[in-house]
Amino acid sequence: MQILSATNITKSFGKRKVLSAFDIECRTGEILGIFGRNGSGKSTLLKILFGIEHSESLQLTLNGNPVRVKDVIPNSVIAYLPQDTFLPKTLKVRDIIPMYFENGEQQDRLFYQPEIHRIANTRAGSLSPGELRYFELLLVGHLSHPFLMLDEPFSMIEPLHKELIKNYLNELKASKGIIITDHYYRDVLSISDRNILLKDGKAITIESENELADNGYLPSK
Amino acid sequence: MRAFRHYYFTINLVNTCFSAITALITGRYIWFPILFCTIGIIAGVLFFNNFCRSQYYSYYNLGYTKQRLILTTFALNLVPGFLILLIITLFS
Repeated sequence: MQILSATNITKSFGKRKVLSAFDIECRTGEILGIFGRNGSGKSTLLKILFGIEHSESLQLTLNGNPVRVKDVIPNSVIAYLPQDTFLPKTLKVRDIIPMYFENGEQQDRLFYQPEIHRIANTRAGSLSPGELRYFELLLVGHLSHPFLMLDEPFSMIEPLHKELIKNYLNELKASKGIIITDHYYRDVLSISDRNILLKDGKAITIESENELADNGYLPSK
Repeated sequence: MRAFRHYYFTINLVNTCFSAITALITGRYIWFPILFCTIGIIAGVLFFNNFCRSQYYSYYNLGYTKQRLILTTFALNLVPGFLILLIITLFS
């Protein structure tokens, strides 16, 4: 089992403190759900952990050993599915897969995933938003990084694809630690092992949908 | 490597156009290899940053930082740039 731990994460935008000495830990074998209202710092947190957003302070460790944030990308510690689509629109699915995986066996594993064969000859720019999101998730999920961060993986996804994604993530967590943030809270709650809510720069542990309402993320019933 | 090739060709497509057009306008062909190894790459990177910015996430996931992508492009362009410079110098 591997443990990714980040402590004392502090981030401000001007005078507004978004993350205030915030701590987070994720282990391989678990899915950690992160909730928060718009602007609460969910995406910023993921970008800080990935090393592409500056923070005022952060101590990052992997299995207790310090990791410099600038080494997260070169050392392939965390794979990241950002909110924005990131694939070259002019390339076909069957040409993008070899860009990510040079090994034929790895390519086959991806080609044999549900739905991929059907869209193999389609250009990324011609895929529906749901198909594109699903394909992007499969690409980053198949990388060998021990940790995976997903920013809104259920956005624009049709119900059938949602089930495929949930099944895939449940399989994937056997070998990875997954951090997931999405406003589709029921989908996240159905697969996550632990959940936190970002509020006023701090993390609140969440056990149920009711607690999301109690803490002001959902309307009170 | 295949992923880097895609980045390299995208940057150098813009770089080559920029360097060639500048050399043609000024009428000084010696500028082509010099620009190809310097400002042309910066033009290509600026183009990529503006029109293909989100594609950097692919490279990040594959272990390439932006700095590594740009520096490798500069390093790789030295060889063809020097060869073109040599050819132009020999035939002019």
